[in-house]
Amino acid sequence: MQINVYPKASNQIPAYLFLFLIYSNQVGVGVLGFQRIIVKETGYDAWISVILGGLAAHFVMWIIGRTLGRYPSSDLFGINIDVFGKGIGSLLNYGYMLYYVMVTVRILRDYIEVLQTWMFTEMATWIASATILGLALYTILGGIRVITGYTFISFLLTIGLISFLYFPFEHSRWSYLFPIANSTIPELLEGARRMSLSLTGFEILYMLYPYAQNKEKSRVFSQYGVLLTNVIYLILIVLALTFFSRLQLEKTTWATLTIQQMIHLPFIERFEMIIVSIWLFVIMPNLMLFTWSVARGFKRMHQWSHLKSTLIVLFVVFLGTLPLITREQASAYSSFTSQVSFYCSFIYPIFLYLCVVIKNSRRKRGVEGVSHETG
Amino acid sequence: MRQVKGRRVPKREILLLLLSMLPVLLISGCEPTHVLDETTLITGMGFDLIENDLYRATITAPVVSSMVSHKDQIVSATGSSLYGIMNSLDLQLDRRPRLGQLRIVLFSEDIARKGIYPIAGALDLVEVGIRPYIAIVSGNAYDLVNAAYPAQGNLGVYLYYTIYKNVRGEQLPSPTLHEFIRDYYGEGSDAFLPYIEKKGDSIKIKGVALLKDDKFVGWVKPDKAFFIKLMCDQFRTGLFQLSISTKDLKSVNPYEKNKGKMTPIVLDTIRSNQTVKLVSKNPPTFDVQIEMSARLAEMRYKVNFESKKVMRTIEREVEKNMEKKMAEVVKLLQKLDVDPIGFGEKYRSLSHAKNLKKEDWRKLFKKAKFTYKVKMNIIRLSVTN
Repeated sequence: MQINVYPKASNQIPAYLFLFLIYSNQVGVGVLGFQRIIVKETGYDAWISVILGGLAAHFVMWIIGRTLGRYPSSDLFGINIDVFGKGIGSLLNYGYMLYYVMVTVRILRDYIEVLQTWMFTEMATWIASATILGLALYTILGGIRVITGYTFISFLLTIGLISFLYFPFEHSRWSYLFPIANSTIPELLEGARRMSLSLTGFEILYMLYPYAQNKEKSRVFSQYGVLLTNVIYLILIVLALTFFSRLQLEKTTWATLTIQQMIHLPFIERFEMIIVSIWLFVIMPNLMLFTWSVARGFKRMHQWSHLKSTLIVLFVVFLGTLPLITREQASAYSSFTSQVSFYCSFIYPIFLYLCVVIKNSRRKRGVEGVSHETG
Repeated sequence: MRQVKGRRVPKREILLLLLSMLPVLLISGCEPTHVLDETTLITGMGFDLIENDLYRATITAPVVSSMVSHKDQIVSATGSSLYGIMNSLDLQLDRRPRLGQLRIVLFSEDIARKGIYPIAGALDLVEVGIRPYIAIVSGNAYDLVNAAYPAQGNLGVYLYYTIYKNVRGEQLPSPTLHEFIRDYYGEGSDAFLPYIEKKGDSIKIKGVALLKDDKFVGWVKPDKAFFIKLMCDQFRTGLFQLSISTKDLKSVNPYEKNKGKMTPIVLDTIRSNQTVKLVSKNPPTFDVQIEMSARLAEMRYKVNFESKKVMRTIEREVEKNMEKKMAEVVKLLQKLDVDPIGFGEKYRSLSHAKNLKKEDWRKLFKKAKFTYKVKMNIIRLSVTN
């Protein structure tokens, strides 16, 4: 298997689009209900935890950029094989692909849970699963450029929703934020760790990097993407903290949607229904990018065709949503994925970077005769 | 390959597109249809207490049909849970009752004395949303909802807009379901809701009902409710009427025959700002400072409004009057053991009290001391003064 891949120029992505790719891959279904998870642990200083989590995401993003920068044009699969050899490297690749499938199942199942609670109470899970995955299939088969185009459009359509948050802010009670720093440091750090599931998604840069037209610039724009995500999460956490009293928030599973119920426009009776529907646009890039990454893995390691690997992955994801029937099962699966994503998204890139550095220093000492650019 | 307008359209892609659209057809059988003509949209609901755990709900819903003489439908049912009552109602209506348009929920005083959270909490549904208003009724909710109001149309919508207009006009607090639950769970605040009664052929908002947790403990008239809002919130265009003493004021009206001891005065376009400082923690001592500016709309006793000295006298009188009334209101609240103004919230946020619980705050509130300072600025007069 080749370590570096050089896609055709017609298949490459301009650097500025990395902002939208990273942002869209991070913002998914977690945005709708992350507030409660953090406040349960950290109390009303949760906004500090959000900032800490965001800074951690920036740091790990920088590490990922540095790791990728040491190779001319490689992705995670290539780096794993290069650093750990074919056996362990392949194993790590499969592990990461399995993690991506887990995350896809989680995003899909959580969104269908929202649909079932808020809009279609009598809908069976598999019907929505099949429909959404059918839409995803059509776009993924178009290749990474089509996915990127879709991501850009979904960004344009959904970024305007932020302006509607003006209405709930009128009801806010800023005294709920005080006293500041009432929580202990371990509580803040635990809250930041719980943010990991909401922030995960930036490591998609590992897969997209070979397709960037301008490699250095793409890393910068990826950081901007993470920054945009952090700002949006901060706005939403502050909104939820000032809108609900503490015990009330601990009972509100989907705080963002409940807040949207206060928005009252003359021609729309229930604004949050619009949000739930538009949210399909928000989660589709997540599903598509993760699935595409796993399909890439199959293509890179076994040279399966794009169509075949995409179909297999989507079918596995579909099967994965079937056993999660009750709310408890879906929640438990979500928590489990949250634990795993902390290690895969935050810890593993740091570990990989250290291994790359060690490997490179051993090469430079002339142990192996393969030359690589450093930088 | 088919040729369309000179471009070659691959057959495989079209087939895939159609294949991936197939599930959309499947999804159309998911949700049972809700035909609008076959739905009773409940706009108002009133709850009474029959026995210990048995509630009676009276609902009002508009009827859209040219065949009936009344435009509203009023039905009542009993049950011990919200959904039980809805099921009971189903047996009395020809269309399925749904809560989607619920605008106002009324509780009789009896239920309110026992606690409204069992029902109000059950209303926290996706279908209902968090925007319906809650209000307490003096007397039976059944009587209020059942009576015919020839001039007012559908009761639910009418009451909703009455309260909404007065919330905008700053005479009432905003009694949405969300705010009730927020203050119920909040450690340092209590909810307060409009207090309504049936007066002859129409409905009057008597004042503001005070709730301890979710139990009704008393109500205050609108003039006292003014001070509650003054201390916890801002006014933008408030209106207030009071009487001040005419001791230091000289009349310029040549026809003024009887100089009474007090003169009524009306201030409107009130803009106010409050600052509550926590002076000491034990016992909790608060320093309440209000800055107000208003327009002098009406004063029966005509004085020389050009003179700065006279205006300052009027302002000082108003300030003294307000400070006295504020102290009275807070004493009443301390006696009733409720904290709608939110001093507890202030205490929690300014002192580093870890995990202040509501019971602890109630004990502290009884011992709390307050000082008041009002700064009044009359900035405009009405036209003919």
